[in-house]
Amino acid sequence: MRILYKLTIFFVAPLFLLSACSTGFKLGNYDDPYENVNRKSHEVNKAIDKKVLRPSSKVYSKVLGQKPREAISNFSENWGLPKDFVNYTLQGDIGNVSKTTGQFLINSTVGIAGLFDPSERVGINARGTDFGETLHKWGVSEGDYVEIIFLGPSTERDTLGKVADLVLDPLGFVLNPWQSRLRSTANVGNVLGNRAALGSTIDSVLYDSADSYAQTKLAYLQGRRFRLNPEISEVYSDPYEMTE
Amino acid sequence: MIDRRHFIFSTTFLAVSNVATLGWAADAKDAEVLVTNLVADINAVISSGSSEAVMVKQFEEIFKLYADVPTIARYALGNDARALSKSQMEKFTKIYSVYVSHKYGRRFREFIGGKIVVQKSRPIKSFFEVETLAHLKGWEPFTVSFLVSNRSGKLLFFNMFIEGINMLLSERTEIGAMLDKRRGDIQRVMEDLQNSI
Repeated sequence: MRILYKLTIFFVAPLFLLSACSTGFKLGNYDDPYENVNRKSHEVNKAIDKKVLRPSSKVYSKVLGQKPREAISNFSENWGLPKDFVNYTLQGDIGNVSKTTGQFLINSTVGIAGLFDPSERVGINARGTDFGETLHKWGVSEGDYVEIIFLGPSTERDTLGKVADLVLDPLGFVLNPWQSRLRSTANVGNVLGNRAALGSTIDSVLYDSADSYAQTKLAYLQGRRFRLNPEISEVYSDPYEMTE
Repeated sequence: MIDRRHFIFSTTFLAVSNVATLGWAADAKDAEVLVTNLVADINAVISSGSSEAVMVKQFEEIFKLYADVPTIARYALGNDARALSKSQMEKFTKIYSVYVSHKYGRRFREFIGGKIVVQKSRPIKSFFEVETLAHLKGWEPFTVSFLVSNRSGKLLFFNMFIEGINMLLSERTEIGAMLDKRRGDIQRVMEDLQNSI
């Protein structure tokens, strides 16, 4: 019963709110009604990156070699697959449900609890998903752009999706505290590894651009829209048609 | 040495194919050929193992050869381009070309050990979209699309999308923010761009 209550609060109620103010496709639209608040969170996030994330990612990649970092990322991603499985099921995406299942079964066994990724070598490699995408598939519009402290750039829909993913994660009910901690530690390692791998790209957006907030917003919204809708990703403007 | 030979080969090929497309309409296949050559040159640079300084210089040459630099520079300036004199615009284009090729050249440098493969092409409005897939070690392959047009008189690319992220739009946002911070003073923007190279 408690779970049902949680689900209603976290997920069903805001869903109605969101679809009530849904505006359909927003391609080429970068309106930002929360800009003032978002910019403040952006400064906080930048400070967190500068003081904590960036330096620790450097230490992380210096201390651990390529192989251990890969193993930690594989492990972290493997134990996130049950959450993908639930989402693909909710999306009715049979192809990806079976791919995700296959990947999880192979990597958890042959891949030694997911430390290795042998499923990729046999061509079973599902792309990741989340509850934000499930909402998108259900016709919920992205809502407004938000930047949230610790979470970073997002939209109203995708933030809701992140919260729902915590609740919907089947492993959340199965893992004991020790296993849970192990997985969380691997997830932190994965974040540090990604920050290190994307090092200078993120640095250039956050520290070398004239308006890092605007660049982060553009990159997030376009990247996310492309991921959810690769076929109609962007309104192509034609610079040759512009009047001078 | 193979890289260099390939670079020269595709450069010659590009010149020939550009002459051939002048005077009559290009089609999606021509655009695909252009991007195939562009990508071959980029791949040659990333696999060459040269120093960052050398690579960035090579990307600068590639950019001049394959991109419609004046159109990209004008778009990046947006409406502010109108206020510029012809000589100012030429100066901006020159500085901007080096700045932008270094910026993206450094990004492509992270592609070391990876490669870009042309997938397909299609006409859109008066131009063409050529889709490529970038294979990078440790990452899922991702899409890099090039928009190609011969409206400048030559078949050249004028925009690039990395996983849907529009290069022209990011560049216009960047130059717009630089202008705002300098109260619209294009002279100062040019000086600062020059200094950042």
